[in-house]
Amino acid sequence: MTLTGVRKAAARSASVLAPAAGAQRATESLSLIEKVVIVTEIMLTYCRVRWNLNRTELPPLLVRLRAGLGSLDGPANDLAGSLADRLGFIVARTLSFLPTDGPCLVNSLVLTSLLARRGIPSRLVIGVQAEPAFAAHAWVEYGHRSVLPTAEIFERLVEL
Amino acid sequence: MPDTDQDQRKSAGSSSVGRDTTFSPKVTEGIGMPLTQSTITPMTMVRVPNHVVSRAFANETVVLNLNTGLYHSLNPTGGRMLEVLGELGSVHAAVDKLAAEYDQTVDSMRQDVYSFCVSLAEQGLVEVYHGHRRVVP
Repeated sequence: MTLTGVRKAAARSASVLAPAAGAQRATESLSLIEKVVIVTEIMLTYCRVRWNLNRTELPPLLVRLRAGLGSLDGPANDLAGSLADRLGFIVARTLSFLPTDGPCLVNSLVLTSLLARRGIPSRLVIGVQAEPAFAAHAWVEYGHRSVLPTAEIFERLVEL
Repeated sequence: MPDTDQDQRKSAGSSSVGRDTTFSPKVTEGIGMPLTQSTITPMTMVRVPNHVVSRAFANETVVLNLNTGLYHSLNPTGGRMLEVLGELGSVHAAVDKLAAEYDQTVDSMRQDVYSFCVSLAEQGLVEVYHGHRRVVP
């Protein structure tokens, strides 16, 4: 597959697991081609996020990743929620195979971008745990529900 | 004395406390005006910028600078100082309020607050203004 082909595939990939595809697609298995397309999209987005994270501050980076998305507020719907859940699972699973340390913030930004490309607004939440030891975690929420792994031990610090 | 120089933790990836919503200066960057304790006066104003968020816990206040990705930890006194500074904006008013809260003399509290402001500004956690001129550390 040429680089141009990869780019075209990534551009079309937003149709995979998109709300316009209908409710059935939220649960039925993806074809091999669709799996390749979406994994490619995830990896390209991952590279973009990693590149920008070292050069751009978080708030403007989020704006860039959400380009074209309307308001972050608005009523949640079941279809978008199901798709968000599924995409969250796919992103977490895909990036878990990377040999690099997969920080939660990067995973969250990748998922935020994928969801925004499908017109699904999401919130990036950063939480912290002060005791017994300091820890911080980032995750994505849709409709006030987490679509990436999190834990109740983290107190919400900010929603972006 | 508030403990502000605690370990900074790189980001991993209730929202902010005490943002001043009444102080919205037109900013003119202060050129050649280094920030030290001696440059802070009772007329100095302090603002917690939007990219700084914090949350108070039992034994510390965690502050995150979204622009740098660094976490900072304040002891309870420092956390309360940040909260009051963010609410009031005025260093003078904050000193008076905190002196009353902690049953300290105004002079003693003033030194602590001034030092604290300098530390916070150096970390980018607050913006310091003399009138409409921002003092950049």
